[in-house]
Amino acid sequence: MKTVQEVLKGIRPEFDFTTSEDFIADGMLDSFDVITLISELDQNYGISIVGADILPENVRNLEAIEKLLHKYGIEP
Amino acid sequence: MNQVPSVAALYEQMARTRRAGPLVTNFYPVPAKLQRSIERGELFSTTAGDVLFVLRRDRDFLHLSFVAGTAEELAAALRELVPSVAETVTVDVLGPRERVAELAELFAPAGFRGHCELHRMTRTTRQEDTPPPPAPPDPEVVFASRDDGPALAAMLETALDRHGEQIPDEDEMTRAAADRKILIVRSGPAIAGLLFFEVTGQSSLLRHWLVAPTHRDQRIGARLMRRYFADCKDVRRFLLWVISENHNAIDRYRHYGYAQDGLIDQVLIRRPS
Repeated sequence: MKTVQEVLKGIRPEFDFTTSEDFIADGMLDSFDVITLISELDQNYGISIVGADILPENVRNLEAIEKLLHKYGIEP
Repeated sequence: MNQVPSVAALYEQMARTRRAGPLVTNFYPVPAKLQRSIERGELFSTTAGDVLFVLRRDRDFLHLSFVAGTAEELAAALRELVPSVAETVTVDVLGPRERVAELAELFAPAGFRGHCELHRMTRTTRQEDTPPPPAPPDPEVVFASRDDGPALAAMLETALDRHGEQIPDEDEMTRAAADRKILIVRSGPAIAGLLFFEVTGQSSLLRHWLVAPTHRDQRIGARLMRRYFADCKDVRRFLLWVISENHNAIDRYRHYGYAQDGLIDQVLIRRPS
């Protein structure tokens, strides 16, 4: 199973996600990447994130993504 | 169909649609742009079942966005929506090719037909990449001023497809010029070429790159592009959308290091019968 950082790196290899507190504002993820990220998280962790949770604030940084995964019972 | 009163009201409608289940949508709102459309009275919304439709007026037609739980719900809601709209409507169906094909099929029974297809192209650089040697200064490539807004908008209006390419209007071009988002080369009182771009953190979207027909083959486009990359030296990801049949433009973008990244925008149109 990949770590969250590895999933992010797989989507956008050109960025260092450990240096940003807001992936959206820093231009590291756009709307389409958010959808891709959700799909990758679903596959990687065997979960199904619902539409209500597909929000920029839930993927804006590593901490937010980990919090989202906790909600689905995952300890990343 | 009701006029959208505020960004908050629209987000509330979206949240109701998103309450459960997966999401089928082409609506990726940017609050500042939504606010501007609302202030100008251009933004409308309506629901059919649990599906939210957002319509934005653009010149003499409407852009349709949707937020649905499933493809089936969207198809049913479209059948309900269409009889109530008497104007030309366009919709951008976005995603990887297979997904786009599936979604586009839902629109055919509601009278939508293919208009054009855009491909996203991306150019990436990594921090460890060696930067290119700095280009010599080119004093003829300058930022447009507010006063150039009308001429810039007219250039785009003449050259582009209003249904397929989301052409900015005079107001948007004037604001963009004031915000130093448009590089130009002048030729006397006229504008020979323009490059309109936006930067968000480490990403940049090339909105439009255009040389007037009377000034082509003079390397004006190349000079604009060189300055763009030089000004955006901290950008890691450059994006743009190009019409799939514009092979000339695609070849030029490839020359500058862009490559198609697999994201497609299928533009569908429904004209009133």
